Amino acid sequence: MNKTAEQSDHFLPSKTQPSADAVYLDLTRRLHFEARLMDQLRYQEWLELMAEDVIYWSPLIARKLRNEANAPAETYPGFIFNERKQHLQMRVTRLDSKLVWCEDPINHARHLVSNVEVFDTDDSDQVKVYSAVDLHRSRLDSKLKRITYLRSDLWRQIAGQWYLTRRRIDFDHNGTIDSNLNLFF
Amino acid sequence: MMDLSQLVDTKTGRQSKKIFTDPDLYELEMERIYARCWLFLAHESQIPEPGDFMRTFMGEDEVLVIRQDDGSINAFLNFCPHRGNRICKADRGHQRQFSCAYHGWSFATNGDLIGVPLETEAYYDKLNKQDFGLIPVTQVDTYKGLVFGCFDADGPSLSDYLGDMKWYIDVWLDAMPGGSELLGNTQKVTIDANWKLPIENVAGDGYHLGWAHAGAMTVSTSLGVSGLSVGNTDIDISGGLSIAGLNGHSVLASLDGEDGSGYGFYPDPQPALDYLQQNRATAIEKLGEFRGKKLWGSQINFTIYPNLQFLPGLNWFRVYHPKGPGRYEQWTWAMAEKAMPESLKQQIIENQARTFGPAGLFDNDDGDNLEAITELGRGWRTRQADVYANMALGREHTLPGLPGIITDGLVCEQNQRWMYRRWLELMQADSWAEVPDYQAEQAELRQCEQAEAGFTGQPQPEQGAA
Repeated sequence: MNKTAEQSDHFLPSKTQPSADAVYLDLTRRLHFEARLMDQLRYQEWLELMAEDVIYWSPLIARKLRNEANAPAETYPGFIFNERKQHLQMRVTRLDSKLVWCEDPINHARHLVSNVEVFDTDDSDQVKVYSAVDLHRSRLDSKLKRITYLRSDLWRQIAGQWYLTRRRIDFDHNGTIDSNLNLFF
Repeated sequence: MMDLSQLVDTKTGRQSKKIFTDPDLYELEMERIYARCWLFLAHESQIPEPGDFMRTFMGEDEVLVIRQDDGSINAFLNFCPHRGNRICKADRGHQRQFSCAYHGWSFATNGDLIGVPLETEAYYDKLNKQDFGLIPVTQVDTYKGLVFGCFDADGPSLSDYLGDMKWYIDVWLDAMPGGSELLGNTQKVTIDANWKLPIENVAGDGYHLGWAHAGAMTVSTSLGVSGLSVGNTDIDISGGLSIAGLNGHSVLASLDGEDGSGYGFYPDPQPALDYLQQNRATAIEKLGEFRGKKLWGSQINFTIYPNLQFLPGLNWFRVYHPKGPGRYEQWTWAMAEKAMPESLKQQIIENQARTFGPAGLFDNDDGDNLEAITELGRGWRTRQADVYANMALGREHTLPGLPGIITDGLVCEQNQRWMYRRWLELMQADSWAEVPDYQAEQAELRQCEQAEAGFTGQPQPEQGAA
């Protein structure tokens, strides 16, 4: 099985049972905390929320006619992201290097996390979490960009704390509408 | 119209800032560059079966590129000849026919109009359907997997248009059995900059690499690449060549193919290095010593004028679609040699996304610079000013066995100068007949060099850059 198929599986919830309210609150807090770390550029701390085996993934999707909906999946759909923890670390090191000139001065970003749904899975330590994000970026003068996307996550509980183990990011854009994606989603 | 000859000066490397912002110049570019030159449409590997298609652009003209029933490839303007609506809105796919959303006219994959609702009842069977097929692109042809189209019936053949550049791009297209292929869906990014800026950046600008990409180089360099250094503190000029004088096309190549330097920005270059080692003999057999040893496996930036670039090593393939003077869309794919093992292709598609994809560590350094250059040109006083690509002026020479005019080094602005020279020549020409061919100029330079060197008239062995 190629990696793409393996990664696709987690997109479908194995159960559709909503999690208990306490778990829902826990994960909602976690998502809000994560968003604040990203917005405050606390990337190394953000990285600590990632499980060691995290897959942070955004597939590239072609716009196709509906009569091709059942066509076999491409061998190589391509990615915007297909990162393991060491690749996320590379990105963090670059952003923290002070050598990324377009991020100096700091650009404002705000991740507004919404539409949170939490579901139990077959693994009692793992929950499936959907969230929608409205990302607002303000740059030089009055330049601003708005990027929205869906996240389909798996979060795993280790010693009472939740860690991100899978994240699929589906952008609501057919192409990238900003001159860089120098942040995390 | 302004005096075009004042906009670009090849001798000093000067360009007027107007060429990046002026709407009239942009319109002239659409007519004299995009409606005249051969433009990349698709790679054959993207549309292998009859009925497979891709929607793309030639300048701002939207076209459908379709594999035909006989295996050939044709391309059509993507509009219905009835009232002009868009025929197909999908990026790519497989269809037996295309139907217009407005009145339901439908077209076969060969462009023929095959269905007209109410043809009998409302047209009284008087519509000559053969007169209302999709409008074909004037010329469509293929070179070793790359499909190109041209709107100019008087233009040169594709083979002549590519000319000596074929000798260089064969290093990628024809080194291994099966040639090349593109991987994955289209990575589309919209940048608010003039279309020429990303092309000059890749065509010749090795200068920016160590500075603009310092952060990315810090985290992703695993092998030395032709003496480039983070922060541009040092450079080994002998490690590469800038090659232009190829009728607008250009090559920027490091010469350490045997070290696999092209894969120097892979966190783990070993699988690529193994592949290169295993197949080196095949490449040498196919390409000869210089190309097989020094170029195959090195980092090479190929520019096919006006808007196609592909980079063996970093393995990305990109076409730029202009959207007005201040905007372009870049469409990128990962590229591989068909003979590569699946595991290496998987690594390539991941690394290409990581380095030069929409969220690429390197690509994300370039966009803001190119946008700023364009945006600042909106200032009236600013655009009365000039900018310069004048590094290593006057150091042009030739090398025996290598087509084109050469300046040593990846950090060198020769290729940009030749790119803007071609731009001016095309913009000034009323027809292809007035567009110069550089063969004569090259021969003249070679003759001068040979005279200076006391040329003996004996054939010289093929050799690389010393």
